[in-house]
Amino acid sequence: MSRAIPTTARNSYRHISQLLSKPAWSVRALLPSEPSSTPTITPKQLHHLLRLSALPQPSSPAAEASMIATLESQLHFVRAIQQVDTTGVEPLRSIRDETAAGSEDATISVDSLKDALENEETWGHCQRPRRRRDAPVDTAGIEDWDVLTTASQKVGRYFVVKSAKGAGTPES
Amino acid sequence: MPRIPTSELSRYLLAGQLSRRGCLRASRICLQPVANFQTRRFASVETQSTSVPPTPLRKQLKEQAKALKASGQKKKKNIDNQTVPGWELTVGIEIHAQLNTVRKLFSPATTSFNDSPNTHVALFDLAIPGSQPLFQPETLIPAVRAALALNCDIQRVSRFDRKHYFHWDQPSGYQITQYYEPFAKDGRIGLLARDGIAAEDGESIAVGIKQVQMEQDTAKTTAQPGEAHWLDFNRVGMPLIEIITLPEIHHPATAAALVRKVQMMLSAVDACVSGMEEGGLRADVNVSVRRVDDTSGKLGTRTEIKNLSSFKAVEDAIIAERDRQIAVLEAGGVVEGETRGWSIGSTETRRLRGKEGEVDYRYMPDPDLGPVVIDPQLVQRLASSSGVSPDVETDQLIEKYGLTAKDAISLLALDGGARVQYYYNVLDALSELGAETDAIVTILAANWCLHELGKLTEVSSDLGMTADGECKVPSRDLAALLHHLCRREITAKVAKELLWAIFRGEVAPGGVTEAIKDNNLWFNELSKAEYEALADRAVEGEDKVLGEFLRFADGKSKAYPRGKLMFLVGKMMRAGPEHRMDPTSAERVMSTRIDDIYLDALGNKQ
Amino acid sequence: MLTRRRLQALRLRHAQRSIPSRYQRRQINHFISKEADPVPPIPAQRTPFTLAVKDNITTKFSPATTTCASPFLADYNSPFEATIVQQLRDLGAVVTGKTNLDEFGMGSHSVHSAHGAVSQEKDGYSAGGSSGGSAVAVANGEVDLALGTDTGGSVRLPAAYCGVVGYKPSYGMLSRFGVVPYANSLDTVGLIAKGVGRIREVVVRRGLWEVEDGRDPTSLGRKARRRIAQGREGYGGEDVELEGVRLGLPVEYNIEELEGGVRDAWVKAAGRLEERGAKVVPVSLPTTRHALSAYYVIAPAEASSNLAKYDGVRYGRRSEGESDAAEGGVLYAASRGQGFGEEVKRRILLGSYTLSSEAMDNYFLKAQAVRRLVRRDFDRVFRLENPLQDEQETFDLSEMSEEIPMENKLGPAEVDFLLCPTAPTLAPKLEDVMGGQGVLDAYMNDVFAVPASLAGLPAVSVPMLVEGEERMAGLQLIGQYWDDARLLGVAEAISEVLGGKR
Repeated sequence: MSRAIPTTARNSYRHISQLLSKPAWSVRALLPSEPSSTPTITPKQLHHLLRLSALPQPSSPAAEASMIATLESQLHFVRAIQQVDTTGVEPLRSIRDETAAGSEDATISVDSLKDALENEETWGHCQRPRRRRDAPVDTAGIEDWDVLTTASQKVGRYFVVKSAKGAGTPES
Repeated sequence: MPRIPTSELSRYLLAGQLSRRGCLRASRICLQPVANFQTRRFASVETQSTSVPPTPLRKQLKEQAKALKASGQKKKKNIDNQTVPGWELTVGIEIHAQLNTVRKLFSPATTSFNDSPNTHVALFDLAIPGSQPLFQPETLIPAVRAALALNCDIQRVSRFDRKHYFHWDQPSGYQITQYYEPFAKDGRIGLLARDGIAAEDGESIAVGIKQVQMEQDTAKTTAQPGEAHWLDFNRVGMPLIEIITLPEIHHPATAAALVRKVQMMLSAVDACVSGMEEGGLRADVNVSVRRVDDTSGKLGTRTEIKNLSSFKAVEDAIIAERDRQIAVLEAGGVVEGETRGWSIGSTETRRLRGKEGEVDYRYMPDPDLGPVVIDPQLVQRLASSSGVSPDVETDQLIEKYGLTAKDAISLLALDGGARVQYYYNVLDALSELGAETDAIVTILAANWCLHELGKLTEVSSDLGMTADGECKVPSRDLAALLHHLCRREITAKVAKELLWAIFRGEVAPGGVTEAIKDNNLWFNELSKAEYEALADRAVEGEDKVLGEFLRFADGKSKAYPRGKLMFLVGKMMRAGPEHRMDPTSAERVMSTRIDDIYLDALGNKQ
Repeated sequence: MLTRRRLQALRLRHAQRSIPSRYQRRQINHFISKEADPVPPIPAQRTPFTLAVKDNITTKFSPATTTCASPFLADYNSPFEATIVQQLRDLGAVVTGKTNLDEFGMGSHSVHSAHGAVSQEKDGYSAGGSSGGSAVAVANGEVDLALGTDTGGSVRLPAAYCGVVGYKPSYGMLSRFGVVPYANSLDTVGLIAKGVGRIREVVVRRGLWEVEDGRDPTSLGRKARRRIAQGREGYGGEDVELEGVRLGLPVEYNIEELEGGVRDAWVKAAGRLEERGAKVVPVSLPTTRHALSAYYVIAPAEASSNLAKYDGVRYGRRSEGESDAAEGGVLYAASRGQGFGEEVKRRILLGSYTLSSEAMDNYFLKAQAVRRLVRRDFDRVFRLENPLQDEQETFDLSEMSEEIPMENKLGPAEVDFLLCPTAPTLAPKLEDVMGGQGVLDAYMNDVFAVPASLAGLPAVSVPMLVEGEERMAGLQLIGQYWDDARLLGVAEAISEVLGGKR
């Protein structure tokens, strides 16, 4: 049933005003009402998180307690999302063209790689592919900048890190 | 309680005097391989063993090593190394291979190797604030070919994720990889006996490939004194693929064989052209053990050994880690899930990093990068332009050209794949000369390409072999040489000398026949009569030797006196004009005359 | 009464609490760096206009530094300039300086800054955040146009507090190349001006909306822009009539904390627009209740990732001493401890937690699913379709609040734009903000701004008068994706009706 819009000015304010007469919810209700009795973050967890984030450990027990309290209140604030029924709902990772047409635009095809495919030859008895290495490569605007200009420490053309062995180990 | 091999038992029992030979049940007790240990025949030996408590494996190995050292013997490569009785080894491998591209994975800066430091760095490679990644689609060319060579399913859509950790070789504080949705999955690699798998794996074994993913390489760091590290970001962001196998490998040699074969296959499709030695291919292995009679169905805790840089290291590190884990478990301990390292020449892996749980990579889909969408037609095109696979090529060499598996593999491996090109060039040239390229010819050519050419490099290590298969001995010239040899126009000895001459540049290209002519090297073989005359001369005064042949003919000795025959032939060769003699012909004449003439003559004498 | 001296002392004390003293700058308020000799525009035929650039957008040479209001980047000279700055220079912009902000864009009052808090000139009110400096520079008449970034309201909120216009485009319209990222999937470059006209001129008439930047992987592709524009009006720059425009009032934006004066102003504005021929209908966006929580999972998570690059090795301030692992043996902890302010560290920690393996499913992935529901809510109420997906949303009537009247048996009204306040309150006093407000209090200011950010939708805040107040409130207009041209046109018309500057 459609509601006809009143023609008088006073009435339009009234109908709109009426719509908004009752607040729908309270945002402050997201805040924890009191310090949590069952803490979800232990000091050990905090230390682990700080290490993962390469941030310093708390400077005092008071600072530690404060960090934990802050984190717990933040988690309380955001935990509200767990009440939402998201069965069958795909996570939205980014705002991007997800249409079939957009997917087609993004598809990498033989045509997209035309130049690179022309830059290879087949060779030998087994007709194997081989990338040609003689073609000139344009790196203007890409490699021609002063790479070391913002470094606080450097040796010749190298950046420098000083660290005891084992504090950060190679990955791959 | 694990059983103890008899080789160990023999050191405790009967004061170490347990004879390996000639005791009551010698044929059954002595030198059984450890794997066959579980037979009842050793029952009597075992009951005696209860008087001596069994020592844990680690102690045994230490004592063994000490004893070996004391005896001055080098530790022999023991095929028994592949298994430890009572235990099952499980290995999974992760291989990182640098892709052969012009540009990096997420920036248009160029790939390089050992260039001046920090000269191939785009803004994003240094994680300059405000810079963004740009996927370079040409990366798909080697990436897809590599995955296809490993029989993977190429996914139409794949995505990128950030793997977070802090290290000076990772400027963004995260690596962009494909953790959740890689571009290739569910592949498999077949390994054959000829690839060097463990004997225990039989004729062939297939190992599943879980996935292949694209990811960024890290910066190069050079350690300096004073705990400093110098950083070169040229390598940051270069495209890698990571190949993850299923944990379906159970023997160390097979693991090494897999890595070796993957390297060969990636090189063949031009996906990765620098190998383990140059650092273009790295392997990490996951190792776990469990008892053979474990019914839980679960694998043991695994440890990861990172950054193995040679095939041998792969095998050695797995053996060392397996033995370490077994020792820990036998002592009643628990294997920690940790990361370990291996250095060449070590005997044990060393702990690098704590429990897996301490490192949380917090994989997050990269919000800047869109999905990679691959056209199936592109996949088709890359598949059809990958060339003949190394396995098919090896089969061809064996079946079509008659090479042994060993020779085929050697030929393919030499000179980075160029030697076999040279071989094909030689065969082509032989065809052009009108030779019938039957098995005799192809095998002869192979022997020369492998072994005779190989002898040249003993003196001077440089054949000057180009990637297309030409060297200081032009293939046409070797073909000409072999053509004459096949038609018995020159002897093998002459041919070898000519080879040396060609190598030293003393024969002009295309001038083989002329050189033979000019130097009068044609094989002007002796006539049958001349051979016979030499044979007659050779047996003069050799009645005693002939007597051996008579005894054989009379059935008084069991073996034909081949050595004596060669002695007589040698006498013939020395007496006559050697350059006009073919040892095979001389041998034939001699043995015929022995049977037909000399023995009768001898008999008559007696 | 709040004296100037007391305000300065407060500012300093707050800054002291967060940032080491050597980074305080007493004088600098809305500008961090000013260009002594601003470079005149190169295309001489363009009419020059003055531009202030938020200091998390890179400029090269003029001015030379890009600090993001962080101790880490205190002396940082970017080796390149952001695309948007170059584009505006080409249109005649004269960059006069870089404006103050919350460090790396994290905050709602521009108080978390290494250079001290921003305040409005008058009476020490909060300038809003994080683009507070830019909003103040425009409100003071010092520049014609200012650039900001809007991740969860950081352009619209300060515009609302300062009584000027703040516009957040559709995500992917303006290039982010050179914009130091806070949360990549939410960051948009935004524009602040006294009137909508200036913004419309630059974005629509001068064609910034059309240009794809190949260096920004999130910049919407050329083909997609053409495709989508075919389903949109207004890009020819034509004026838009209010007659017949359907404006939706989202009932979930009527929260308890909505100040009475702001609510009344909202109602009044809606009524006046109805008088001019617009049609005002209620709509329901049920997931609004959870949008703020979802935002505060996603944004800090992406931020913790984006800030992992700050270690002092390749650029930025570095901790002194022999080792980069001096702080407890943890690599880079010393530099990062000193280089980041407290709010930034808090968000990094929160982000690390929600991405950790134990929390990932129930926090980060869950928030992303809620995000899709937030966008779905919008798609259901807009007449125009969401051009980024093929499947279109229909309403499940059983989910709808009973208070919403039905248009017909198929469902409630579909609208052209949503009309709502930009913030639940007027600009608070800076004294109140800095004097012991809890960490979460500031989060609540973003409640009306965040949903449009999560959905990537275009939104603009125009100032509206509030009865009995000198300060103005912000009235927000939200449109469907890529409906920016019409949105700005309607905003301009609305401004005229409400008596604002065109």
